[in-house]
Parts: sequence; structure tokens; C-alpha cells
Amino acid sequence: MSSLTDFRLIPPLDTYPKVVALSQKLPGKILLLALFSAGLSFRTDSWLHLSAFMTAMTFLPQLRPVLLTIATFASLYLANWPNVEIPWSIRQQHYPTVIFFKPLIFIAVLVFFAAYYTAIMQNKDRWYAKRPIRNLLVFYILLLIAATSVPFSSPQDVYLWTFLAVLGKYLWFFNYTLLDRHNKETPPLALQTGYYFPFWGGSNTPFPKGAAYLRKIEAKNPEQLAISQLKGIKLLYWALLLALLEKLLNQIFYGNANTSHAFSGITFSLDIPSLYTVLHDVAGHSYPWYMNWLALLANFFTRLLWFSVWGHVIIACCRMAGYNALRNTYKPLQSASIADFWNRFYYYFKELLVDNFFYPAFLRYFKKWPRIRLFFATFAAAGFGNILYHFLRETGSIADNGFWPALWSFRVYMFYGIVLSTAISISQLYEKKRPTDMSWLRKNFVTPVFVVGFYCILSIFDSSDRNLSLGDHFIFLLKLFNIHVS
Amino acid sequence: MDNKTKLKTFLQELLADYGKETDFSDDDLLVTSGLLDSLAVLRMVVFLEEEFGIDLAERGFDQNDFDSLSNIMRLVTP
Repeated sequence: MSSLTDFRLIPPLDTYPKVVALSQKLPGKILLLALFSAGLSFRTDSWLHLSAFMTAMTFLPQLRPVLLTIATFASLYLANWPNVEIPWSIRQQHYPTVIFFKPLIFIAVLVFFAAYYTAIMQNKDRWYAKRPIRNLLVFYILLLIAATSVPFSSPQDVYLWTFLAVLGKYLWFFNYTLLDRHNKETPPLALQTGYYFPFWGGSNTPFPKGAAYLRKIEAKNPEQLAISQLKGIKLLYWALLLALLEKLLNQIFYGNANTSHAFSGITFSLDIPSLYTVLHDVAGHSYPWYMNWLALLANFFTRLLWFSVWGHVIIACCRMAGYNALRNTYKPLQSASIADFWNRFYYYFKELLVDNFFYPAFLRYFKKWPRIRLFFATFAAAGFGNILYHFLRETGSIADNGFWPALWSFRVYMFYGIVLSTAISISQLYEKKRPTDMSWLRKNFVTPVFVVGFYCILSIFDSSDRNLSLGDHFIFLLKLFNIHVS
Repeated sequence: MDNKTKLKTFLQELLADYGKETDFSDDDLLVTSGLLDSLAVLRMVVFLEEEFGIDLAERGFDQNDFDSLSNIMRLVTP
């Protein structure tokens, strides 16, 4: 029985002493890099230059922070500065023909932050140095309001909006630098630029956290590097298996409706409509109630798989570069509570909210009322911080529609954030009261089904489509139970 | 009981609550390694506030300070 439970589809290579020893020698290193590159070539067209960066970092570990900075800048250049996004409505206007426009805006944002950071470090008693993260966020929001309120002429508005879009992308990376400003592990600011949108990928959420954290998880000797890289290979190949499963499920669920996901050789399909389609079926007569359920479930599980694969590949590259980071998604279907799922599903986003909102709120407010203290801090993170993060990500919508209309169109996600944070708060309050002697069925089936069911239903409101009202989402929710409201 | 023993006992209880091995050394990274999470850090914060009267809002908060027993000891005896 134990041999069955110990079975791993991908063997735990990092725990085999002989494999770890071989991985520290030249042939072993070459083998690891070749295996990783081969796996990576299935996931990204950039596999060749990513592999080149990882090779350099494998053979010159003493130069890792410098190499990381070079690799990050080189990958931005090779991908034509994907970190510089220009809002659609702005792109239609006067577009600068300056050849270095994108890197110049990027450098302008870095220089702006370097000036702010230097001012904070040199004037610790000044008002702006007291709460630097809050001040940076307030400054950014005020700048967004000003940019949508004051009519700037072209091409000034192009420069301003591009600057704002890029600053928005780097906002949370900068916040980690500010959080780490007193930490002994924090490298100089120039080297931290390598941690901003590092070459292994990611989103506006720093993967994995800030520079001080990366320093701490960095391999300090050849053995640690070998273990980190073996874990990277394991995770990459696990991601490839999950990607195959995702393709298979997409074929079975959606079939030819989504040909880009068609799985070769398999023609069977349930032809389930997409969540987008059933959500827009406001009249409610096109699909029976069970088809709405199938659309919701199929969307939830395929998204969960896609998201896991995405995070796994990023962390696998990070580990291969010598930073032994924790996984972004870790067995979410085994979650023991609503708070636990939040921790397991999108670990680095949760950490961002915890570091920027949860701890500050917990340390400052309601110290004498433990339950209110925990509830408030959770609400500050999973509610307020979560909504703020997602709203500030929508610079395109803000530029196109104006600040206040964009905020109003965001009300469905606000509702989502409020329900989520309330549920997580309640879950945390009762965390300690959970019985430890649960039956196998309750621990491994009933509780996870309840938790995943909650997130699945809540995902109705986690839509990026801003054209539907809150009422439209509720109409869909009722249709799941065969209740039709016109 | 000295401060270090008090802290170690508390951390062992915390690890036991999380169903983890309670044997650890002073420099083992408890949060970075994934043994404990942010909720556990909160319990450490409350423990330091109640047991040692430490106000982290005033002295500045860094999650790294809670990563190992030796780091936490630096908060208790700066």
C-alpha cells in the first residue's frame, strides 16, 4: 500500500544522492541543461535564448545576480520590449517614430523610481519616506486621474500614457524594493533591475517576490544548485504532462469550437459552450441548466490547468537559474479550506497582497480585538488590495474610457473581491477549530469538493468582460439552478 | 524558561499544528522553505506582542525576521 502512495509519475530526482552528485559535474550539468532545453522547446519559442541564459548562470554561479540583470534586459530587447504597452486609444493618435521610444520610456520609469528610492533612503524622516508604498500607490492613482481629467495635447499624452502604463506594470516590483529597503539581503538598486520582470517570465505580480527573497533562496553551493535544477526539471516535465491533459480536456469539452486546442487523433467532444457564451445568453433560453453547469465547470478546470502550467514553467526556469523558489500553484484540489485554496492556487499573488496589505493592516489596526483584527487585515488584502491590483492593471481601459467610468465598469470584480475576502476571513477565523481527526472521506473528498465548488461558483464573477452588469452575472447564477429571471 | 526556549517551544507547537516535523535548528528557514505560511507568521507576531511587548508597527515589519529562530531572537534581544 505504501509503495502505491509513494508512487510518483515524475521521480524525486533531487532526493537521489547519486543523481545530485552527478549533476554537480560537467557531464551532469550538460545533461540537465539539455533535458531542460528540450522540455522548454515544447512550451516557448524563446527556449533557445532562455537556455543560453541558464547555461551562463549554471557555469558562472558567482556572477548570477549580474547575469540575471543582463538576461532580463536582453530578453526584453529580444521580445521588443513587451513591458512597454501603449493603450489602444493612445496608439491610434500620434505615435512617436523615435526608434528608441519603448526603451526610453522604460528607462524613464526606472529613473523616476530610482530618484524616489534615493530620496527615501536619504531622507528617512521626511513624510514621503514614512509610508513609501502607500505614497507611491496614491501618487500613481492621482496621476491616472489627472491624465484622464486634464486634456493633454498630442504627443504629450502619448508619452504620459505610455509612462503610466509602464509604471503600472512595474508598480508591484517597485513596492517589493521598498519593502526590502531595510533588509540586509537586498542587493544594490542597479542589480535589482534584473528582478523586475525577470527573463523567466511572469506578470505584474513579481515571481518570486522581491530581490531580498531571491537572495535568500539562491543556491549557495554546487549541491544546492544541483538540487534546485533537478527540482526545476521535475516541475517543467510535470507542467508538460499537465499541458497535455489541458489539451485533451479542451478537445473533450470544446472540440472543434476551439481548434487551437484540438488534440491530435481525438475527435470526440461534448461541445460544451464557453463560459463567455453562456454568460452572454442573458435571455436564458439557448442552453439548458445542466449545460450552464458544464460550461462553468469546464471553464474552471481548464483555467486551473492552464494557470498551473503557466506558473510551473516560470518557476521551473527560475529554479534552473539557481533560485529554488516555491511553486506558484500547489495541489489546489487538496485544499482543506477556502483560505487554504487561496494560498495554494496563486501563491505569489497572495504573498504580494499579504506583504503589501495584510501585514501593515494587521500590525496597525484593532490590536485589542483579535477577531476583528484578523478579519480587517484579510479584507484589506484579499478585498481592497486584490481589487486595487486588478483595477490598476487596466490602464488601457482607464485611458480609453476615463478613470471613473473604468472604475464603474469594474463593479463586478469589486463584488467578487468583497465576497472572496469575506469568505477567506471567515475561513481563517475558524481555521484553528477545524477537527484534526477527520474521516478519510471528509478530508479527501467532502471538504475539497466544498472548497473547489465555492471557487468554481465564485469564478462567475471573476470575468474580465466589463460589458456585463452584476445583474447579468446573477441571472446566470440563478439559471444554474433552473431559475429564469427576465 | 529563557526567551529562546519559550520561542522554540512556541515554534514547535506551531509546526505541530501544521502537521510538520518539529525538530529544527536555529537557522532553518521555516517560512521560505514552505513549512509555515503567512498565517503562522501572524501567530508569531501576536506571540511576540503578548509575550515580549514588541510593537512591530513601530519598529518596522519584515517577514524575513520571522523566517528562523535566530532571526526572531534578534527581534527579542536586539
